[in-house]
Amino acid sequence: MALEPKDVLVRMQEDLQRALQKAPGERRWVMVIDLRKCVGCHGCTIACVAENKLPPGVVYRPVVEKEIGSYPNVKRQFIPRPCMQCDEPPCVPVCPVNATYANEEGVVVMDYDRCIGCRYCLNACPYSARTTDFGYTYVDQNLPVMDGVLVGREESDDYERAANYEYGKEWERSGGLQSPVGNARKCHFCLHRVHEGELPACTTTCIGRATIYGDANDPDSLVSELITQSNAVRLREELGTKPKVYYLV
Amino acid sequence: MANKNTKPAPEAEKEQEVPQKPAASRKTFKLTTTHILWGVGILALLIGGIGMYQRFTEGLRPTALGSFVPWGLWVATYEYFVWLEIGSLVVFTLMVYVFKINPILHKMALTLYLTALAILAMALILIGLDLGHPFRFWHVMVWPQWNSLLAWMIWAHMIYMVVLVGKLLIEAYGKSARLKKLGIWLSYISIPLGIALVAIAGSVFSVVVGRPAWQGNGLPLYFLVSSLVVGTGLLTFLFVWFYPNKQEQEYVDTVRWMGKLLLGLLTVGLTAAALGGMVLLYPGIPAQAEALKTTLFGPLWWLYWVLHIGVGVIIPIFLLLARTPSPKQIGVAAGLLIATFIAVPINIVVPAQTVIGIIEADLVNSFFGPTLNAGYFPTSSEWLVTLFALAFGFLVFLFGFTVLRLRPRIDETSKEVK
Repeated sequence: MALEPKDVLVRMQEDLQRALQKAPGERRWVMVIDLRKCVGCHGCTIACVAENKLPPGVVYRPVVEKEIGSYPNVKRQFIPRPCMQCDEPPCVPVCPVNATYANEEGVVVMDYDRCIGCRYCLNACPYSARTTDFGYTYVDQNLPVMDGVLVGREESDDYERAANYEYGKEWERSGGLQSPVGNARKCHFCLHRVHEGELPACTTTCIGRATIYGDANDPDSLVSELITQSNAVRLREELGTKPKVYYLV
Repeated sequence: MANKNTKPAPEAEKEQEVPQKPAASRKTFKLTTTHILWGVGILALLIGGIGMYQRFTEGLRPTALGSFVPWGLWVATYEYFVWLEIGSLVVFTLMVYVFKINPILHKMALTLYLTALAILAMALILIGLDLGHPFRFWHVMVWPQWNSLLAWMIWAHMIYMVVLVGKLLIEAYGKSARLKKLGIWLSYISIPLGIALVAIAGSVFSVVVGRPAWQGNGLPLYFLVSSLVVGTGLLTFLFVWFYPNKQEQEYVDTVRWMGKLLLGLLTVGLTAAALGGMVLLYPGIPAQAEALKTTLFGPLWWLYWVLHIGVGVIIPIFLLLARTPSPKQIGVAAGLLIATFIAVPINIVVPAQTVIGIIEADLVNSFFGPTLNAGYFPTSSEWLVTLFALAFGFLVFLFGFTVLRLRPRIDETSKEVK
């Protein structure tokens, strides 16, 4: 299917505005990642870290690099791996306190204040899409790799301790052990941005326009067109988890 | 209890006061085994306290845990303590109250309940400290999600704790026939409750789709068998070393009977382990097989072959297979078994997670950070916290045994149980 000549970012922005007019329960956020366009720049990973102020050890969107074949037929493949936002998420039923659940928009979210930090969801996720916040900061004294390397340590420290806005709340890192330290953390499709009419950070940052985001319940949206293509696949479909992240191969 | 009768009358006490004073001032402190045990326990508690300080000031950072290996020594040790606690009580209750065989064992009730309570305390300390937010443990009581087996496990353990404390109090202080009957009913209830708890603890792992080496219906059963093996081991160990009248023929006969039971259960356990292992290895699917290969031939191969199989299985079997093993032989066999069986839950918990470094190496290498390693070996901080829990449990036992005198009852007749 031919795409409209306008930039996909503009198209996605229009799709997003339309989706936000609907009731939350009528939206179905979906992400499509075109592996043919991904150049492995890791820009999405960095954007995600910056947007959510992710500390060391916490990653929502790594880009998995695979080297396929042997010389002279060698290829390098890049697979961005956000949370799959499964329709049947294995991480949700294992949580002993209902601290993780699929919200009415179908996005699997965390209640940091309720999470007890048992990390059962980390083991349950077949995509290893969850990480635990152990309370590190990049300027932490306990991270020897940073000693003598980091310029502007104090300013960086202030920046790291300033709040992020996941789930529409302020989460400061005062240096103590309060949430989100000690919690499981995961990609949430940047809902705090989406609800303000902005696309997820990984999507706007992608230089190859390889990440597409939108409402699959809107038949006119770009994602609706893309996920019906024959080359759209999902990871580990055999598990029946029904991910909402599709890959174009 | 026993020392009530020895308390002197007030008049006699007064009379004795005057001449005793100079004698008391001459009394010198005599170091006893109990003093040494208290000293060792408190010293271990203080050393372990360093780990506790780190845990509460730095969270989980001083541990080797991470996002690819979220569960480690503390979870494995918790599982082992559940096996020990439940297995010993289930075997004891079955033998004494259900099948009514070896009623002499009932004299061990107080000591066994005390030991189980001490083990329970150790288990709860370790699993509580494994949480990212230990002080939120009550969330499971207030907002439980009944789809989660972890919620079921925590609830079952809490209920079991109430039942166990009830049994202990009734056994120690319950004099009326009504209370004794309640104690027997609590014992009956504790059997299905205990079996459920161990099976749920196994199911916590076996429902996890993200760890193929755990997945399936084998682990709940394997947990049950293992619990019966180590539970019988603990019960035998306590009986051999703590029963006061070791000259009684009934004691010797019961110990030998328990030695045979231990040998039989150990054989069943070995068979279950071998079958489970073969099922994992046969299809050759790396996600399943590599975890077992890591256990058998990985860097910690000695944990399985030397500690578990060598010291914990072969030597005990050799001791138990003797034509007429002495109680001490059987006690040593049981002691070796329970001291080394911890290798089993460690090998269940850890390799199934570290195997991600082999089967999904690209993912592990895609992003670096202090907690994004696929390897795991407990840090000194984890060992120290474990030492704290062990010392705490040991002191609970010592307090109950020496101060509250929750000891085997030599005055009680076996007929009472009959």
